Amino acid sequence: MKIHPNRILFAVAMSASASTSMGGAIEYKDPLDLAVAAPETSAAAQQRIDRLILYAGDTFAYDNNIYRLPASVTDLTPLPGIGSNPSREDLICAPTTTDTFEIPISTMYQAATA
Amino acid sequence: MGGVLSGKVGADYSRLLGGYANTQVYNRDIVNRSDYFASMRYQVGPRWGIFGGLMGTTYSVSAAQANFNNSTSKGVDVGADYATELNRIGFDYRYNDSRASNSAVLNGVVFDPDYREERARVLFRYALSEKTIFDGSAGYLKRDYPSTAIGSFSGEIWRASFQWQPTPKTQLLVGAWQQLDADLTSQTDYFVDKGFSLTPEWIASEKVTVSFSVSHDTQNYVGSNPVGPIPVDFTGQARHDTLTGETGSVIYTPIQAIVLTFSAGHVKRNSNFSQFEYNDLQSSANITYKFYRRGDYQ
Repeated sequence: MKIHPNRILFAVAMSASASTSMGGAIEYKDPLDLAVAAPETSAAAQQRIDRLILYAGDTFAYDNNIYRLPASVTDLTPLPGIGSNPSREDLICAPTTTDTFEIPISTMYQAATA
Repeated sequence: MGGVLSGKVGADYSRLLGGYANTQVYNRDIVNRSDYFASMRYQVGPRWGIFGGLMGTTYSVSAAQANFNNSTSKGVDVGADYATELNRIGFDYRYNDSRASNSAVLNGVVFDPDYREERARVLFRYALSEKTIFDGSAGYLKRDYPSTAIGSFSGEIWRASFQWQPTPKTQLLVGAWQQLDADLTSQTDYFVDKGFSLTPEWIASEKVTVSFSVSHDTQNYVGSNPVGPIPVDFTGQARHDTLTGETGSVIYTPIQAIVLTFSAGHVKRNSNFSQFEYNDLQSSANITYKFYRRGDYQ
């Protein structure tokens, strides 16, 4: 039986996206953390080729307390910076696009598994 | 290069709507972040490697009242590891120098929230069996502010996760952590975050994956340094929050080029300061379409 780390990590990341203020089991890694990460397993490294992938997407989200206010706050108008006719809940549409472009110059993986 | 030297050069840019979880400004706040990085790894032998990297980051928010969070930073990361196909042990050291372009006001004192941060960690990954992987890190983080207006802090950090796959279609991820953390839109307000999470997952079919996650965090604020238009009186006691969350997700892939994700979640934050308490319910539907593909993995 083969463990599928990427698939479960994706599912956890999707779950965590609903609560960005919480730590979660999966560590946030900035680009430098990812760049110095351990080399890929031999199977993944051997499969890597030049690639260009373009994604487009859209997210429809409902939030019933977008300003993260306590229940005791019933009048939102005095809050600093808030717009006219403020509402505690909101429906958000967020189109996204992602481009992935990779050219491997050198393929390195753990020689012990070659 | 030569099978022993490899590296990466890249740039990342993100632009997103800032959250309101820990802010006192309620207008629209767009967060922009740009990262430029380069890294190199030298494989000393078949299992031993040394690595290092550099990164520059520019970070800004659009809300004028929160512009003390704007910063540019430079970081360096070095380390070494011993790795096999599934196991790894190593260490890394990160130094970060962050400079703020705008001053902040804390307790009537104007100061620049520049800081220097150091992090040293031991990294560990071990396959206990064919079905179970342990992944963890432990170390120390230290942040110094040159200004005496805001307190420096340091402490132990660690993170551990167990991934267990009892059957080919079911998995369980258990995580626990202690981190020093801050919200993106409140960089001067730091807390010690201790928590755990439990995430079962079921791969119902080739096209459908179902997951559920529960988590609990306690957040003890370090010195309590909120900066913003509303004065918060922490005299006498530091802020202490707890967060609990539950989230469910269904991922549906009808064809290889399309991914549909449906999720719903609930978060409850309790605090010893009532203005920071909230209950929040969210749901979302996402569609992603891979409309152009050249190469990809074979």
